[in-house]
Amino acid sequence: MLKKLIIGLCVIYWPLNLYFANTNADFFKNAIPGSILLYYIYSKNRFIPTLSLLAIPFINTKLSILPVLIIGIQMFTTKKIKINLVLFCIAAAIFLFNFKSFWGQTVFIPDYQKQQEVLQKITLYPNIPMARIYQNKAKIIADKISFNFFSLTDPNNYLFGFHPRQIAVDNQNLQKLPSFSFIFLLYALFFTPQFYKKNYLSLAVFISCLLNLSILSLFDRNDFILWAPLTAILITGVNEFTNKLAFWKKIFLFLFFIFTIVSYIRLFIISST
Amino acid sequence: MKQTISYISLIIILLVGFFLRFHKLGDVPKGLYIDEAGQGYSAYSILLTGKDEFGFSFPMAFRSFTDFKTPVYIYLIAPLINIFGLTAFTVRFPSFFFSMLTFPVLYLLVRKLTADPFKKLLPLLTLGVLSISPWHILFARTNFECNVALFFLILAIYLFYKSLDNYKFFPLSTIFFAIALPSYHSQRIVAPLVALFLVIRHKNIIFKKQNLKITFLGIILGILITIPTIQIMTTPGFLARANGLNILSHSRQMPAGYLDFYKGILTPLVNGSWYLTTQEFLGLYSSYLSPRFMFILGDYGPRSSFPELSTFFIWQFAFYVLGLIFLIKTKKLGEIKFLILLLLLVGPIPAALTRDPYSSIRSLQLVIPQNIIIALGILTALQKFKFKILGIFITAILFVYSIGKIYSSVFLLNEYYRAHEWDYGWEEVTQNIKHLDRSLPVVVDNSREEAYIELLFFLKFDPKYYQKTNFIDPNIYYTNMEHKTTHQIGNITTRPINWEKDTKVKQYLIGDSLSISDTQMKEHNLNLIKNIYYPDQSIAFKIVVTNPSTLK
Repeated sequence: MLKKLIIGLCVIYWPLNLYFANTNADFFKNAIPGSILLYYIYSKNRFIPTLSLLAIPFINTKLSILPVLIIGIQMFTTKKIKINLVLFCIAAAIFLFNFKSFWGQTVFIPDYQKQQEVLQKITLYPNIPMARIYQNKAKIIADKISFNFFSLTDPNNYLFGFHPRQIAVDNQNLQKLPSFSFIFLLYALFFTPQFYKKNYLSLAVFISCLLNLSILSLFDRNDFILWAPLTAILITGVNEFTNKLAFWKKIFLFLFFIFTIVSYIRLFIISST
Repeated sequence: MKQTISYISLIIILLVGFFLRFHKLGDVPKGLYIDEAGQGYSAYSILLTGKDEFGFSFPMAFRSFTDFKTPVYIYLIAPLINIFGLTAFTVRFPSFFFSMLTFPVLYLLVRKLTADPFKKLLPLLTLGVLSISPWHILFARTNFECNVALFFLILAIYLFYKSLDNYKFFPLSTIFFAIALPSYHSQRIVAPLVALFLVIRHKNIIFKKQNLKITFLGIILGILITIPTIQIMTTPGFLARANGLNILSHSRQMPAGYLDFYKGILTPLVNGSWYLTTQEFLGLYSSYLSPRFMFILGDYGPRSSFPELSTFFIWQFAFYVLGLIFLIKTKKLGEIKFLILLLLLVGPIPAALTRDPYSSIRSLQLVIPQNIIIALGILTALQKFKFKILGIFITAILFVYSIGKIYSSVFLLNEYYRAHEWDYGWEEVTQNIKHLDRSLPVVVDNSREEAYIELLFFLKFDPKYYQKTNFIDPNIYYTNMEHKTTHQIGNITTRPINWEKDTKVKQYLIGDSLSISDTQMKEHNLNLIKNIYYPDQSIAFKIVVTNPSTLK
């Protein structure tokens, strides 16, 4: 009961916040891919969940490459090569079909302003080879990808809505998890025996989502796809944490409940305005 | 053979560290920030008169603009002025010097605490990572007290561990912990906490019967050194910095997340200080351990970062993750594991208690554990990599790339884009003032800058004369927080320009392009004497002379 309550409080927060902060259309556009991924992670049968991944590009073209990546990884980790190969080809075909629309929403589209900045900086270097190494057009794309990647791997993004350095524009800066749930994530990552073996599927999905989101020009709201693997990781962490309840853990859980309940109350107050 | 390679690598690392910290020390960053000038002039005043520019003898916290500066750095500059003169090089030299001294101490510390399989390479790799650390280099090239304080902390920790083998070193350790305390604001929290945890961990040795005398001696010495600081601890001056910035005080600014539209019955919960402050502290604390801040964002302050450089290089991220996993999983690392975790967890506390996001100055102590973790990651990768030579080659390439990146950011981009932030131009202004007609008064606009301290510094104005107009009663030195807006330096007055009155007198006016705009030049018929330019060729300052006779 205690475990279920903790898991519930941790897991519901992000979808609820997303729902309150967006229109129904936007919410479902992002929530459905997230739910499909959760279904994929938790299903014992592989075929139908994998097939359902193919629906994601039709719901959100920005996520067109996601099924290709996940099925690609699946091909190397399961024995059913033929069926996976077929599914991979279908995913790749859908991706190619959506390619134009997908490409236009990535960091690869030319950025004129940034190019001008690079050209200006080049003039400051004593020689061309050095200027080329440290100031070039590839750097513009690399910078954007790394900005996205590190934003998506930032604990403050999930626990504090990017506080203390919110993304100034193009991001709702929503808090995704109750802040005191950090301990469950830490427990999952560092203190769960054979975590990486047991959770390879969640991690594979997490990495695939990360790759897809990192190349988008705007990842806000689409990053809800990370909810599924994070939920799986959180559940592992909660199970591990509540295994043997030492005194300090009880104190921590007390604080977790207090702060999380206040967070939920705040969520409802903000949504009601 | 392996030993020779180790020595050669060590020499290369030290030379690289030396070059990146010492090359053009006084010239890069171009300009001299007001805090640097302020500390330099305080030291100059102490050296010549035994009093600071306010006429107070040997303060334990130096009165500055709106806050108070820690004393150790200023007392370190004072004797150097006799050798190098009052220059930008001199005021930055202690940062450089103590940052270089950190290398051997850190090497010895890591070697001492690391268990055998990692003992040979980890200290070397740690120094390698430190030598190219953008974070450590920034505060080694500029007058910020934090790098000196970091050295004292690391030395105190090293001596503490040394004392576990030879207990005679214990008093020395407490002395350096006590010196670290007034060296920089952050150390007031970090040094005692680190000392406390070390004592708890090794209480069996420290409180051993035959060690009690030395323990007692060490504690007494530590307290004696700390007494002058304790004496002023409750004064507004000492607390000025902390009061103005800490997240616990909500008099100036409401905490992050405050719902100003909500006044309902749940206010004590949803807008409760206990809730918001805890959330803010946790958010700030976590940012110091977040890869986004470490590898991408860095410090947002233009003087506490270099353009296009964070506190660590992006390529180090993979090694950081690897090192972190290895650190937590392995049990064979030795005492260094405890020290890394201690510094990693205690390090962010002072910075997380203040509102500024990811303050690299207040959290500099984190550079040590985070660098060791990266070094640990590199070591783990090298050990697991099948092609050892290729691994070493790739590491060397990354090392060379990083040196170039630092050169690019520090010596090229920072100079061009951030000269304004480093108060560039005041040296040129004072050079020009020296050639102006001395019979005419000079008004220097200070609407946006504390111009007076730059002028005092670059004119090397005699502190004896300045103290006469700037004297503060010693009884209220630490308590009176009033701040003067007008300063008199010989025939120079620093204050905001009053266009109506100032143009009716024949005199020189000096200000930036905002205070003396082209429109004002035309409107008041001012004659341009000289424009002083930033490296990007925009105007830094204008020196003009008024023409009262031509005004209607």
